[in-house]
Amino acid sequence: MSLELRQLNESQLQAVTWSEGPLLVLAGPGSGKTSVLAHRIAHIIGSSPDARFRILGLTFTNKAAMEMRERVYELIPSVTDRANLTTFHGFAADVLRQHGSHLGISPDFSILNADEDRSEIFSDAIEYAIQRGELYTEQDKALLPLLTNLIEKRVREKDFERRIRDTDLAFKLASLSQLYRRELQQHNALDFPLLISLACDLLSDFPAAARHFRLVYPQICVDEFQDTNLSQFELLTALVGTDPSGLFVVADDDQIVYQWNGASPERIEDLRKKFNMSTLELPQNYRCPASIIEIANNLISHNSNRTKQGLPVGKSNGKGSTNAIRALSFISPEQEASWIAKDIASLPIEAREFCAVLGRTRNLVEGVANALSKSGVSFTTSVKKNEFLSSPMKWLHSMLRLANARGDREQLRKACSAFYDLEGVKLVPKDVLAASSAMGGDLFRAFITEALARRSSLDSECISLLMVPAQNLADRMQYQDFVTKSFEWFDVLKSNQQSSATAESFTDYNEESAVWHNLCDSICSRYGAEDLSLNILLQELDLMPKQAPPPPNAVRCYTIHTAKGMEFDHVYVVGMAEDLLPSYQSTRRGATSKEVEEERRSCFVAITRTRKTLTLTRSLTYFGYPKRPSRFLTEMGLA
Amino acid sequence: MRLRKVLIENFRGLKHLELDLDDITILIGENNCGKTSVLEAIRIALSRAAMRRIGSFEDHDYHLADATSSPGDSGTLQIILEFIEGKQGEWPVEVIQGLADAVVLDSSGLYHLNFVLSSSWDKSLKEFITDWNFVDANRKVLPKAKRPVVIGTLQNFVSVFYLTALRDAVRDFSPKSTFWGPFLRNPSIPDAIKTQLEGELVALNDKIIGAEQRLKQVSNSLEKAQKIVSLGQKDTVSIEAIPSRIWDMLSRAQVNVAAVTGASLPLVKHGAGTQSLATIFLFESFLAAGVNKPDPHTSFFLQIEEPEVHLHPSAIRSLWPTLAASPEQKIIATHSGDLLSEVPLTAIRRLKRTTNGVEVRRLDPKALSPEETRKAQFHIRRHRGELFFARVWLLHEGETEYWILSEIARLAGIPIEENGIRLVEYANVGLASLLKLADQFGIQWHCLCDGDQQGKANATAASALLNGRSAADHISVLSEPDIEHFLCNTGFGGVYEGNISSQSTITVKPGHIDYWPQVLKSQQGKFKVPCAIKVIQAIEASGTAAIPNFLVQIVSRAVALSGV
Repeated sequence: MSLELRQLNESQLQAVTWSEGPLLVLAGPGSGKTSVLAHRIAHIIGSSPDARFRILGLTFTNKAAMEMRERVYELIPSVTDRANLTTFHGFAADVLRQHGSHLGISPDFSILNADEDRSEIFSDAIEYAIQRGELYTEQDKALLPLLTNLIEKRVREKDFERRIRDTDLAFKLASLSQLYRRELQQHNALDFPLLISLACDLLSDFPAAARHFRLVYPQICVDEFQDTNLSQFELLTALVGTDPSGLFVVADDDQIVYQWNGASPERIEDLRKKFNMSTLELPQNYRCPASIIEIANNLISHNSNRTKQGLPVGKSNGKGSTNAIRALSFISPEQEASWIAKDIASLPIEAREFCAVLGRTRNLVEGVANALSKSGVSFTTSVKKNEFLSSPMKWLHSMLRLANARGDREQLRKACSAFYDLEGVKLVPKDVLAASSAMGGDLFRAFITEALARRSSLDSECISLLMVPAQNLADRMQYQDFVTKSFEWFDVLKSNQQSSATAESFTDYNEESAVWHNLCDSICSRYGAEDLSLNILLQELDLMPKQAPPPPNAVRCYTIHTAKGMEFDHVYVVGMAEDLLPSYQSTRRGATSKEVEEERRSCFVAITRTRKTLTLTRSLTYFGYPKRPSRFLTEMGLA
Repeated sequence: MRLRKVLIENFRGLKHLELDLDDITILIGENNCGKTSVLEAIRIALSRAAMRRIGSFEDHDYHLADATSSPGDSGTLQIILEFIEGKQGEWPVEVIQGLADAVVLDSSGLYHLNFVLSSSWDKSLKEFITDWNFVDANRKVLPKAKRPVVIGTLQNFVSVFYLTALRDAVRDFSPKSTFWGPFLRNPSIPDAIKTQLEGELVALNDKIIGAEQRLKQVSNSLEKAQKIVSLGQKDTVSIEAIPSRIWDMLSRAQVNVAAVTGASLPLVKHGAGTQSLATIFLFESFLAAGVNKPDPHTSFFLQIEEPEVHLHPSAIRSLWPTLAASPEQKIIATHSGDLLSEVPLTAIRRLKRTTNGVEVRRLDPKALSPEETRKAQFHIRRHRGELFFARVWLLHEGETEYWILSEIARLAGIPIEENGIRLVEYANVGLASLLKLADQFGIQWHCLCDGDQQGKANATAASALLNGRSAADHISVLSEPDIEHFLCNTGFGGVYEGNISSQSTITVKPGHIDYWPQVLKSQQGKFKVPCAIKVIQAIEASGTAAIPNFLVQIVSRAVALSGV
């Protein structure tokens, strides 16, 4: 199998075919790093057709993992089983599914992806402890964020004391941590921070498991390394062990914008030293016009803590007019927004989906989104959604989760409440719970039985769904029929209830059912529809965001963080004013603080999304206060 | 990759069975105890059939608890195979990579691969539904391994070959045979030589046809047919005396073996024994040639059923080195004591039907001391392999008791063979070692001890091994010092009185306590066995009423034990 490598430039080719030990690729924006990663993975697989080892590709987001899968698949459609392209969380879940028994974890655990679910379990744990007479208070329920922070920093319970000066608090947090973990175990569930943390524990405390993954994945590729937090870095370290020869890391320290989440510019340096990595730069920018590269270089040169110290971001191969940049100011944020809306409305309709309005905060972006809406321009704001919100989808998802974990009271509660929205039949979780005692605590069966006991109040589609398909799900975990019949029932409900009060439950249904089918199709294509177990389907769903794909011709209205890794023809950056970008919080720390440097990187990320034109706007006032132009405008040489 | 544990539930006659496997495992047991079912279960679990949702098993594969039950009533049919690494690094990296999502590790870092195949009756579908999974140590399903490609990879790495008891050279040496076919179908002849040979074949064919004028004429007249119906281009008619292509030539290859007369005869014309043996050696060379190995890391798992069929005992014994030499893991089901005589004791698994199902017994290497093991290897396994097939061992001191007990059973009309009872002499091996060995393999025992000091010591040693079982059922002790004294006291003294040496004088009268001891001390020559035979003849002459009750009881107890 030979691969078309001719379209790569010299340094890209060098990275793709690198075989001299661990390599750190420092890649600027628009330098084709995703393409390099995909080509490298395809190249390794293609040049070892008879081997069975796999390549692990770790990305930061699901979106990036999916994009990587598509790219690799395009390059070598015949090989799908040899590359595991996933997120850090996805990989941690793999580790725990397979070897979790050594930590008392059952492979069919579920993943809590909603913060309210975590809080609920944390609160429950505390309440049970209070009932047992242990000395906790209601106020302790507020300690979850602090605990989460410790877990993400990989501080073990016994070391809490060393991190927190307040000894009593440290002691309390350690015991809360144990309570919380026990409660999660009762639910056979894990949350995101623990997923990574326990996978780290397993790999470091149980060397045979680490050796297993090293045998299976002698080649590890990491994308967007600059965004990894400490526990993700530890997971990588535990995995690589003492032989980093197959480690291939792509990073750009000029794009670190997740400092708040534990990412840090020093980590790239740590990585390089730890594994004695060679460095290769991909300086060529294929995305931005030359003038934008120039201002981006001007801007980022003001940051001190850079790996690519003193090196230019690179020469541009980009095309586009020399006057690709506009910097404009307005009297008020409203005028700023409406001017942008007008400017975009003047573009041909098919160009709009390649337009992006980027802002430091959601507030700023929403202002423009409203203006677009008034001008009749369609747009998307991409609110991240971890859970389905419409009642039908909520019911289906919670019933499937209940079938997978028969004792999960939280899912029972959700199923009961959604069922009430759909059928107007009120099943009380407590009654279902009582009924389940005759069924070995099987809440799923108890729900079906209790619902069928009210048969006279149910729609016939609902009854037939609860008969055979639900029974097959209960007996044999065959969920496909249950899902199909559920949608049939929902469609009947939807057509009956167009005008009734419960129509509200269907507000997001069309969109969410489309998302459901999209997600399921994508999971099926990875695992094969026939053998996709309910357990895997649910675990994969938990790891994926549930927002809808943007409507056609929609202008992208994103925060700068959301826009990472994307590119657009026309970029509008709003709110180019002091206290907004850089933020007030960062400037308070001083002009040379690492906070201001992160703000500068954010600005760098925003402007380097541009393929053709960049428009930087500001208002003279925000929130009723006059604001000076952003210092970054000066640094870019635009003021 | 070696299969180390098999668990079978509700499969054919097996309600529940657990079996540990070594590199070579020998399955023994009476007919109908489930040996073939064990082999079949493993074969099915590692075959394509395992991947089917419907129809992987036949109705009769589902265990029937009693005469009135129907398939599926007994619960889920389950076959669990556990492959376990013996030491770290045993499994090739490629195997681990290929099965990356299915393997788990134990606490000592050794790889395990646990495969579960289960099938049960689905009421709503009215069908048996089969499902498979890879599981962790707690038998929890590993979700990522549930992909057809994974089970395909497992079957790639473990190839099962099953040589059934019914060997048939006509079938086994046909081009369609699993073992012979590949040799013929994929000849490793280099292309250049092949082309040359095929040219020579065509030339030879032309010579043969040309030499036979009548064939040439037939060919010419057939050519005329072309003028009436349009057939093809030129050379429509050709007569092949011999095939002109190598594959065609090879597909007709037959194996000839020189008979005793020196004449070379096709294998199928030889006796059944030669045919059977040839099939086994074909199997052997098939494996050695590595044909059909789907992957360089494939391990073969061989199942051989009754290799002894049609073979002379010496042939069976000499077969063992061949079977043992190949590195592949093997499981052999046999009824041959001669084969067992070559096998290490620890390789033997004895299947035994009990009221609770089928029990598997094996020798725990720690149960016998090295000295005891050596003796057992020599006296029992080496010379009396058939003893492992017995239900009951009736243990006795020496040859005299052998004649007495076996003949008395015959005269009393108690069929000891039919009841699986074997007489085992313990003078050379030591009673305790034999009893331990019997217990290890689940063989029932009853022992007859002399009444002298040594005999009583033996009885004490035997009592120590009773483990709660009844002494009366298992141990009989003569009230006299030995069997001769016993026979004198039970009315057969006359035989011994007739054998007093001329130099001896008896100093006490009959009836005196020292009379029989003196008679027995004064016997001439090697008297014990000849006299015992005379005692039997005496009983035969005077009728069964003369048989000492004590001896009948011993044999009857053994019979009673055979039903346990």
